[in-house]
Amino acid sequence: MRQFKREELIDNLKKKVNDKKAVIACGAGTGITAKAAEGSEVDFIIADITASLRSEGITSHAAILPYYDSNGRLGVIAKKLLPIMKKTPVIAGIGATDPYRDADSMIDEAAELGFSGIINAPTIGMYGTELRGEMEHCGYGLDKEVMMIQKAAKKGLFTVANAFTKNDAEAMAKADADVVIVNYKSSSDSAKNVLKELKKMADAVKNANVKTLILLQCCPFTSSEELQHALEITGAHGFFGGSAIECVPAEKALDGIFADIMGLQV
Amino acid sequence: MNRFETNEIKQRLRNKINSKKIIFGINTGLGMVAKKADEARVDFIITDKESIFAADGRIPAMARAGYGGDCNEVVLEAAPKILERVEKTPVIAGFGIAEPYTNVDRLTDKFLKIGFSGVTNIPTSGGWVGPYGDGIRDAGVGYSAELSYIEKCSKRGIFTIGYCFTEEQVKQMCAAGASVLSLYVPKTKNESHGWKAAESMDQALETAAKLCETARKENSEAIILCSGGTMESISDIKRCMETTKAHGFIGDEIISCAKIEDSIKKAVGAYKSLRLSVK
Repeated sequence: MRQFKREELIDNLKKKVNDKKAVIACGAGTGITAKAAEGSEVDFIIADITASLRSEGITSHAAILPYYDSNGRLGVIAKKLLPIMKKTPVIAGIGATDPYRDADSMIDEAAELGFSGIINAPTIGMYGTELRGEMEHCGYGLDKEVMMIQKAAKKGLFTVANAFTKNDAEAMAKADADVVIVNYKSSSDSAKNVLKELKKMADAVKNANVKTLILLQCCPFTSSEELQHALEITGAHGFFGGSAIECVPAEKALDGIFADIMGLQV
Repeated sequence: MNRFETNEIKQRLRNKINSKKIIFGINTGLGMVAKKADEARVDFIITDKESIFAADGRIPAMARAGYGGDCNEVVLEAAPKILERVEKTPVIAGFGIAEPYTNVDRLTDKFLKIGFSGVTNIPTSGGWVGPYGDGIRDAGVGYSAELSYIEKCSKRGIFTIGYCFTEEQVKQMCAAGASVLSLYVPKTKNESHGWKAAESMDQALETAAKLCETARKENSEAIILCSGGTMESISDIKRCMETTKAHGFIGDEIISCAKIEDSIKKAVGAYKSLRLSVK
């Protein structure tokens, strides 16, 4: 296990950016995925409930259904991933609106377990506009997540923030998030429109905090050509691949090998 | 999740044999793999502590050391993550027979009750050689205990897969009445399984072919599968089937884990060339 200091981690990322290389982060919910991610030399790994579910063959969207204790998984994920990580920082996903856990203590717990930073995951952003509005109204909104990022930054931890709107992105950058991941979820929008929205968020981050690095949530752009184009349009520093790196390719590879073997005659 | 009756599983395997299609089962401790295997209509899934270790990125052989918890408890904990990902596939539990605080009969019933369709002697001491293996055998907690367990389960009508490593074990496992025989092909490299390795694939297949031949002689009706081996491609498995004349193959966790690792490395590799235009 190697726990990275914030400064070291940021230096490594900045070095990459200065060399004009894209920062690549990916999710991991089980040891085999994390090991492969480290073998591929990704810059950091995000260990959160969605990655954990994907490795179990369950859709990421299930993370916001009432069946999981996402923060309760932190210890289990730590045990699975951290001892086999030699050179890759692992960032802990913490849900900031857990009504049974204090976000402040969760930040400390993540650091004590050996994680090199935190991210607001699961996040209210996953709920979409309507349900999110109701959650915000009840006081379980993004401000809690922003506060958590701010607190973690003050404690000297490396912080990554998920943002789903221009305002979210701006608030997270102002809270001193070291990295903001800009997400835009739409099944109907054209690629051009998605890029436009992502650029708005990226610009909001840049205007709010020049130090904050911007990563694209790479869905729906998964081919390297599409991503190259997206990086150029948005001016982002790299991207984060959840299912696009640690799930979809693996599932395809498994489909392939199983079909090949099942086709054998004896 | 569906629990399958022993006769139903056996019939399915017999149909495969009659239509000259390969019987293919896998070991896994990972839900993603179980889901894909189910979609691919594999014939069965085995969940055992070693495959759970592999999914966790650990060397499977370490599952046999005193780490990570009692193998039966570990399988019970992982059970819903596998059982609830499959609909068409019987899931077989790797059962540690020699755990000294376990009431074996009651725990077997529990495994069946939660949805496993059968049991197998994994972890097994069948492949252990040298003074350590001898010690386990002499203490009476080795392969003989596994045989008694498989025999008892078979008599109760429970679907059983018997792992064998030697010709003598094949004979004993036939006598114990295992529903399916899993005959071990020695690995030739990546010895993360901890059993004695073969010098070459030819030698490994020759060893396995002898086990298969013994099984056919003991019971002409036996369902004979190969397992283990260092299978790096489909042609390796094909060659294994041709040489041993087995009815099929059990792909261990290393096969699926290697695929997962490769795919992630390829995915990230394709992104390495991305360049930034920002200042």
